[in-house]
Amino acid sequence: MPELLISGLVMGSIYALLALAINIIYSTTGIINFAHGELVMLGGMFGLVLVVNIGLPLVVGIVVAGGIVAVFAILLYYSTIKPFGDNLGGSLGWLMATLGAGIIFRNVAMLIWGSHPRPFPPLGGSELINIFGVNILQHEIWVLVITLLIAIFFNVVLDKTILGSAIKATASNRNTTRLMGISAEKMVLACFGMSGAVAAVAGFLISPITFAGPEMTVSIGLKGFGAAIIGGLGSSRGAFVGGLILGILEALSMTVVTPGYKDAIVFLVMILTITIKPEGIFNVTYEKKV
Amino acid sequence: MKKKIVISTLIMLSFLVMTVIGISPSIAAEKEFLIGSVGCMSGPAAMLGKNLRIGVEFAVEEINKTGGINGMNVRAIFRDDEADPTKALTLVRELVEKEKIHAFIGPTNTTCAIAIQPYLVAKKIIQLNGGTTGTVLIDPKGFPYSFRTHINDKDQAIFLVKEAIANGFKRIAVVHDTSALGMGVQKDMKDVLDSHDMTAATFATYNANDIDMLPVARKLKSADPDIILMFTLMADGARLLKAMERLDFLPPKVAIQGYAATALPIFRELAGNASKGVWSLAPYNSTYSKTDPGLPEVVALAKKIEAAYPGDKGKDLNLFTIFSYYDCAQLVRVGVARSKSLEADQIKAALESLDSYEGAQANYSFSSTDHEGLDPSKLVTVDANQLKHGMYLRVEK
Repeated sequence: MPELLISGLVMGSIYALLALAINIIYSTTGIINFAHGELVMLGGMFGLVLVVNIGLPLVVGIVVAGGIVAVFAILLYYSTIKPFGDNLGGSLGWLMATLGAGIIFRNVAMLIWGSHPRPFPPLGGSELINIFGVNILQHEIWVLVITLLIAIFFNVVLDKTILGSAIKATASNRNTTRLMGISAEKMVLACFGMSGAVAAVAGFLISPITFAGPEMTVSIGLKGFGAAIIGGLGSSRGAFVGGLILGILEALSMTVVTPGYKDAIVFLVMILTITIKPEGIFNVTYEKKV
Repeated sequence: MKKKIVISTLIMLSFLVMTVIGISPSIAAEKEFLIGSVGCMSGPAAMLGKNLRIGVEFAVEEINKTGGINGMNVRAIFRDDEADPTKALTLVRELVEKEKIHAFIGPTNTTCAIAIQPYLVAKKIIQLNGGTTGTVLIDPKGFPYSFRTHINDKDQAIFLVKEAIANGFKRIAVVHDTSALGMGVQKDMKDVLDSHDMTAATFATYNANDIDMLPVARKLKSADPDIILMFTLMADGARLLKAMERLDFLPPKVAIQGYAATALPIFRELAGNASKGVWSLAPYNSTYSKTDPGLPEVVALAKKIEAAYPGDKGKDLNLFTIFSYYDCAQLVRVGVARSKSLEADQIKAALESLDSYEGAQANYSFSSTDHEGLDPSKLVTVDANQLKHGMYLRVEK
């Protein structure tokens, strides 16, 4: 049982990583970036090129890939969100545009890197270590720690810094933000850049578990959105907790019932959660806070 | 008027000569024999299409070097269906109606085959299936022009269970996904176990593309089997083996044998050390042993393929699937040569009367009631980690 709990926590951390980056975009634009899973995939694929093919040290690889994917995220904003103006709630064009961009990213990745998944080196090597009778990879500990650090980082940035206040102000009302001398555009770009960098880190952390390939985030992308919704869109604490709940729930449902019904159970619980508490566990209403 | 009479006489004479030497008019009218081929050549299953293309291309090259089919040069036309049944049907229509193909080889996915086979029947096009494993695809009554050279799902499942029983394993666990393929396999395996008055230690299931395989591994371990039969797709199977490694439940503590996909080099690469000692299955001809290097002609072909696709270029190739498609093209040649016709019914009859054709992958025989070229008796257990020119080491248990 302890190994299942660890396994659930690791999967939950992965969902949380996805949810954290989804939230940061939601914080400023009020939309969900449906191409986020593909940005994570790009992080993994660039990681493969930089670390495995070129041989860069892992940390350097993460920094470089983070920069590249951040640029991709900003380009994504310019091509799929900005054309629809400030009033994104009044249009669903961004939804189709981000979905379409995700498909384009995936197809181009297939053309460049081929379609089959590839092994990706885990952080700390492939050797299993035994802790209290449970065999785990060092990589899994890193996944938990890094996800927690990113969640704390976002929490601090949003709640304790001027940048965070500016981001929240942008989310609340762009016109008022402009009157206050804050560039809403710059805030949005900063958020897209941050979400891209986090996507790259997520790619490095996820690839050793899913294997690196153009389709590596297809099955987990939706659960990242689920984690963000369960936790409460806009809350980094919520994203973290929502991800862990989802991961542990999955592990339990695979054990208690049968693995084949895991997804049905997880999504049923997700729907029930949303029905009972539509604002999520950690509801955030920036309008009141700013 | 005189001119017309001369031309008509010449035409009639030419028909007469052709009939005397035994070639039907339709063959004589054709300068080129066209093989249409549709398969998944991009997307996650692109390696299937790659195997198809290589197998057919090698065969076509050899056929042309030896004079073609009844003097006709052979040309293969390939199309990528991206594993999309709708696209597969559109492409097959284009090949039949625009390109005027004489025979069809493919596709590479069961869903695409289901979509195109009724059309091929309606158009009377001979189809050689070299890699699509769905059991329902071969039915001499429903699909009279379809023949298969690859082992089907059901026969793989039967082989795995029979082999396990024959080798004295008592507690047999099975793992598969919840797709139609996986659930069909469960039924086939249950039937074989029932016929031996046995029950499975467990049938562990998961959803295709599941990431966390630890609960599945745990279920398998808790069933305390002495052999685990894996009917898992490539990445899923690799993740499962890694999860079993964490539970310290790999060979030699438990025997593990997978179906054809686990013989792929890419599967072994993904699973890494966890694939050591995991057995797979392969047709006898694509294997070797420590004392038997394999059939000389087959080894020569394997070396030729290895030379054309060295190192990373060949890492997603599966030799026996390439052999299977190679044999498809060769069987088309044999069918046309024996029937001396381009008519599907004549070629079909020629193939159905084939009681022994030594192909690269196996010795084939077909009949009017059986269009399956391979059966479980032609399979052996292999250690796919020990490749020689792409051929697999036979496991002597």
